[in-house]
Amino acid sequence: MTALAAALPPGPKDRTTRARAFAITFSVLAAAAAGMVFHIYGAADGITVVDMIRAGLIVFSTWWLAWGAATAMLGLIARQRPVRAEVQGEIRGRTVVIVPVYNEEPAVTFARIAAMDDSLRATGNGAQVDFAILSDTRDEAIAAAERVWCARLLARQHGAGRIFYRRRVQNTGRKAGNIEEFIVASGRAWDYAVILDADSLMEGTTILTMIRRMEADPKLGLLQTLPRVIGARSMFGRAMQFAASFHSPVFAHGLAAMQGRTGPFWGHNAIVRIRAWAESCGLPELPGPPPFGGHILSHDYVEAALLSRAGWVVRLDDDLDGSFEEGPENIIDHAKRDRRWCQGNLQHAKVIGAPGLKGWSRFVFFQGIFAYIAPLIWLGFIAASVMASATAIGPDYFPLENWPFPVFPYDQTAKAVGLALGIFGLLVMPKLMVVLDAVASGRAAGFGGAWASFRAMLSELLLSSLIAPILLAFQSRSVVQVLMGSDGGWPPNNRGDGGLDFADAWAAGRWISGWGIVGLGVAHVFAPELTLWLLPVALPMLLAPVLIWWTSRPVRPGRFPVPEDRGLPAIVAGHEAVLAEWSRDLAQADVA
Amino acid sequence: MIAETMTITDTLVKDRAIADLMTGMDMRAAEPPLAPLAMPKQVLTRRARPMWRGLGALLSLLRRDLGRAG
Repeated sequence: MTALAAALPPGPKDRTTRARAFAITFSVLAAAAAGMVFHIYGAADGITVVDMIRAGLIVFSTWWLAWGAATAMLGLIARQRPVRAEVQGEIRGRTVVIVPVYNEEPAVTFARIAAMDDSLRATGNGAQVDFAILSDTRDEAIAAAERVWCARLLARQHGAGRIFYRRRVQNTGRKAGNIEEFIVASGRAWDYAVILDADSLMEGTTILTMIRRMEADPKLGLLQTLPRVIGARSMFGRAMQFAASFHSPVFAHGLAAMQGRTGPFWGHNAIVRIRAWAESCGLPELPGPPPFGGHILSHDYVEAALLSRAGWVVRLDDDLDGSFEEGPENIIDHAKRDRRWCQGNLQHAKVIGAPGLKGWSRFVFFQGIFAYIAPLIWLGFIAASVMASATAIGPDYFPLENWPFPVFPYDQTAKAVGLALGIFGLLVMPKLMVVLDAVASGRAAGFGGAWASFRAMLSELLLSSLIAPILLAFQSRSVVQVLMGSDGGWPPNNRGDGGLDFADAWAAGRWISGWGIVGLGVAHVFAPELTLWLLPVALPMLLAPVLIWWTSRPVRPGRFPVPEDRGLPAIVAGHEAVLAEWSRDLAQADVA
Repeated sequence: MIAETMTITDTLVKDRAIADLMTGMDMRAAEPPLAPLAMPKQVLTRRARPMWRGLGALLSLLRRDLGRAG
């Protein structure tokens, strides 16, 4: 670790180059080693085409796992980073906080705006920070409610001239089109735009710090924060919240080191320089019909790449606190969101060759595409292994003519075990390292201490391993649907507690059970010796409806502790207070 | 979610203060100021190189001729 840390010098450009070189070298070497070991092990009984395919698949899947491990390692060693420059004193720029909404519950969303406005005013800073609610809501009932709650919000915040609301007649270009239309009509009124999602929350001090950092660096086009997941209640949601809170800061730190000035944009909880955005981020429609043509779905990655192409700095400042979002509460909602991301990422195949993009931006597109191809590679490996086992010819103990004694094949067990352990290590090692780092740095205290952190990490690892085959099935289906030309559309996000009836879970997961039964049956008939090995994948598939239902149930907070359990962040408490205030008013109105 | 939202809306308009606000409020007043900014569409697809363009033109000519022949 120390040697690696020494290898990362403080200069930002060198630091980025070295970080990238480390991640690429580590992952490629790990993939090559896995491929070679597998090749030797597979060639022991004679090499076949299926063996070569399996070796190729293991190379790609190991590379992907090793890339994740390398990101985590970078996150742990690239700690000594200079403090970001910020201007002190008066903020000159005018900022608008953009909140795009699409069939959201207005009371909850607008209460967030009230809380953020309160938080900004509580800082006592006189900077001009306005809010703009950009509605793409298609449902007339919800749109009517939006108008009512907007009036309520304006009255509470005395927001006339500071808080704006507009609803589009047509939602052309979805969220990206919504923001673009706003910038084209009103962009010149502000210098910076904080882009949020409907479920985003940001402390007033965080927003001001982001503006100060933008003012300190005139080349900075976009600054992304790492939002923390809040408000989860279900088993699935709490596990994701714990992972996002415990592991993500380390991974994000590694990502920031690797991406440098060609950083990411995740579509929300970020600030942009409006001039840079307007100059660089006008998205065209892609030629051809959806899913590959038409409006760009995963627009955020493209916008980050376009800003970099135009020479603007795009940076992930993972040290910024006070940035929050909500996550899906059950596997079905996760899969719905993932379907949209899958189509968006695969659509990047049409953008990856765009003229003038930086090499790293192209690589980021490649990673995004690969993230969805990886499950198919694992499935392909399982299928090829069953085929290899079914067609394998037993060892020939008497290969030499006129030689009466048997010739035993070399024992390759050690290589097979080593390969399995290596791949398992790439999966588990990063999480173990994060625990050790959290204990050493004292960060574990926020998660209930060393033992509680370790226990929660194990629980999360167990749960994520259990549901991995189900997520793999959903992802594989999404990829196949997109490749078959099916457009997933733009379904609104589900919010709320996310609890599912068993009937819903059954309807969503029965096809996975069906494939599990078929897969296990085929393996049992053609390669019975593999049946036991396939159980960790096949059993969760068989039990998919049960697992989908069970993980949507509420869980005891102590199972997956997060720092927010010990005290709500001020902005979250502020949001709850506004909602409580509005609920009280409603109750009184009802009585009257 | 929609039913719940409608209930909230129905309840809310019983609040005189809000109902007055609603009746007296023109939502256009809450619209963002007009301050246009140009946002040119970016080029994301490459134009085919001359050789490929020539090949494409040739193929489309062939297709047209074949269509006529058909």
